[in-house]
Amino acid sequence: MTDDRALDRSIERAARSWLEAGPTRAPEHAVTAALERIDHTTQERGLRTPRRFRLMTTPARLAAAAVLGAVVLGGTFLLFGGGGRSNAPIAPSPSPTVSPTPAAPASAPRSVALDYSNLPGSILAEHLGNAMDGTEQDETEYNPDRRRLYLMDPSDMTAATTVEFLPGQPATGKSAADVSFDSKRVVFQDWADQTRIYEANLDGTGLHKLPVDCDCALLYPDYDPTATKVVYVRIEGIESWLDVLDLASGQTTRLEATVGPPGNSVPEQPAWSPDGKTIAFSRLTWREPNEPVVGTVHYGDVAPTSGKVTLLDLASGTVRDLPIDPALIPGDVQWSPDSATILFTAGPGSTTGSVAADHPSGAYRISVAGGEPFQLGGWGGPIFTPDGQFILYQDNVFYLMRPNGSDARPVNQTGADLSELNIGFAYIGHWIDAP
Amino acid sequence: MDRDLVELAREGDREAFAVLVHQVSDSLFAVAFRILRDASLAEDALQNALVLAWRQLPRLRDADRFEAWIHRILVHACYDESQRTRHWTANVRALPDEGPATPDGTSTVIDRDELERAFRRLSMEQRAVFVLHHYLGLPLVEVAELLEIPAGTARSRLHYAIAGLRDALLVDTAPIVQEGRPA
Repeated sequence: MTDDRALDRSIERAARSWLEAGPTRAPEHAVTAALERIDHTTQERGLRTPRRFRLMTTPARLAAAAVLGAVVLGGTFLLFGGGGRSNAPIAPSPSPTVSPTPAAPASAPRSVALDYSNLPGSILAEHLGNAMDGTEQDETEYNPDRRRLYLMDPSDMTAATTVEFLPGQPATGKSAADVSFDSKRVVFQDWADQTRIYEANLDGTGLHKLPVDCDCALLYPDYDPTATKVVYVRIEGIESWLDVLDLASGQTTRLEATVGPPGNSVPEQPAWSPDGKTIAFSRLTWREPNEPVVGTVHYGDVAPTSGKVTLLDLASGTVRDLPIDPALIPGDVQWSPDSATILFTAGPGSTTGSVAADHPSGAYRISVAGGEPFQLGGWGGPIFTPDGQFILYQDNVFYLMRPNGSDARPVNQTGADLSELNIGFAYIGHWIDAP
Repeated sequence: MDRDLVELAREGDREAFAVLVHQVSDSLFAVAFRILRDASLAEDALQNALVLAWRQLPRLRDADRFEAWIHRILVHACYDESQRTRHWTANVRALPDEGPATPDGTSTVIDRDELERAFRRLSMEQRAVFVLHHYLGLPLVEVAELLEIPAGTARSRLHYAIAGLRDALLVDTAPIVQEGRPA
């Protein structure tokens, strides 16, 4: 060990000396060319602030790299009944409202300030890092292992007015949430070494851990349309698959067709279609295998190289991949209320963390029936509002846009910038209809 | 860095920005070259970073952070340049290593060519942390702040960079990728 440290110091010294030897002056022609380009370039004076990196890691990130075993592609096909999602009646779509515009320098053109702050409902926001109320903002050591859920009111989305959901319960944190069809319950995973799944009422009562116990990690829970079952990722040993838990009986069922293939890939972020017939999930492939640590949070440095979105037909047990360029590294899969369209994020920070921060991001939609993905714009975490009128997504602040990508506006123009280190980061939001 | 110049440039003053460019371009180019290990790519990264900085300058909230901010833009421009060349660099022949040619301990003088080869095997993210820390002399906390990554991630990247260099220099039995040899 001592020899290794001495050797590392020797290498560092040699490397420092080697780095010093390179050029130290910028070529004049390069500077001149840049200035000429700048002469013909206008400055951006929009509403958006500089985007910070996604600073998220996930147990699945590490576990994904650990899956090296053989594939067990079973022939056990499962039948799951599922009623259609009983969405609330479609509310009249509100018009964007005009918020006061902050004072701007006289020389800067004023931006038109439009937002959706009059939309009834609330947002359950998945959050990591320092507390949104600023009480941890003096922390110098940013810690992405702090995982919380917050409830935000569109009419006032400042950091000080957001309400933490079940603060401190469980002590191991809250992440990867899903809200039931009736907006009354929420299911989420914690952020322990071996993650577990919890459920609670959205009024803050009834917190309990779901009765699945194993030497494994349980990740990314998602309700079925009737909120009587939960699908989630289960990583056990070198195997990973989607499991379904019947909430009434406690019985679990392994979806054999989702067992991870050889290599470092696990199914991630399952989403149950509102018609109950299909489960969509993503699968990322990491550049190289890592040490086999299962269910342990780990900070890797290697970004995934490709990914795909797969649909599992529950009646037949067959799977098929959507025609998405693997280089997009799709994730954050979500369904439209009519089960016809899937939303996804390219380079999802929710699963890749900061190691893929340089991958081009963006929200996309694709028809389940076929066709090319359509880039909606924005950044990440696209998810339909329950009435299907809007797509909620994150781009420093929460935004809403129409399903075709138009009318993109901040939910609240004066809301907190949720990409700031001092108040942590919010990523995926869930729109909850007003009671 | 002259805060007034940054304020003027932020409000659209091209002459003020040109002065800033002349003040920072040497440092930016030096960093870009050391990350990319290619003068031509470094020139492109410098140009793109300067143009992007001009475009996005109105978004800079704290004029005192200009230097760190523009270095962050530069690092991302380096990432972009490396992406643009990825296809080319991936499409090269892997040649077997010609011999052991590895140093055997701390007393061995590490050859610059070996360092060059070893460094090229690091990821762009690892190179960036290594250069900002060991060339610019920034503490890791400042590197993390500049790159907007957790301090733990910066430490991790530096650790893996050094481990990567060590492995490449000492126990490298992997094929050497010789760039410029189309497969």
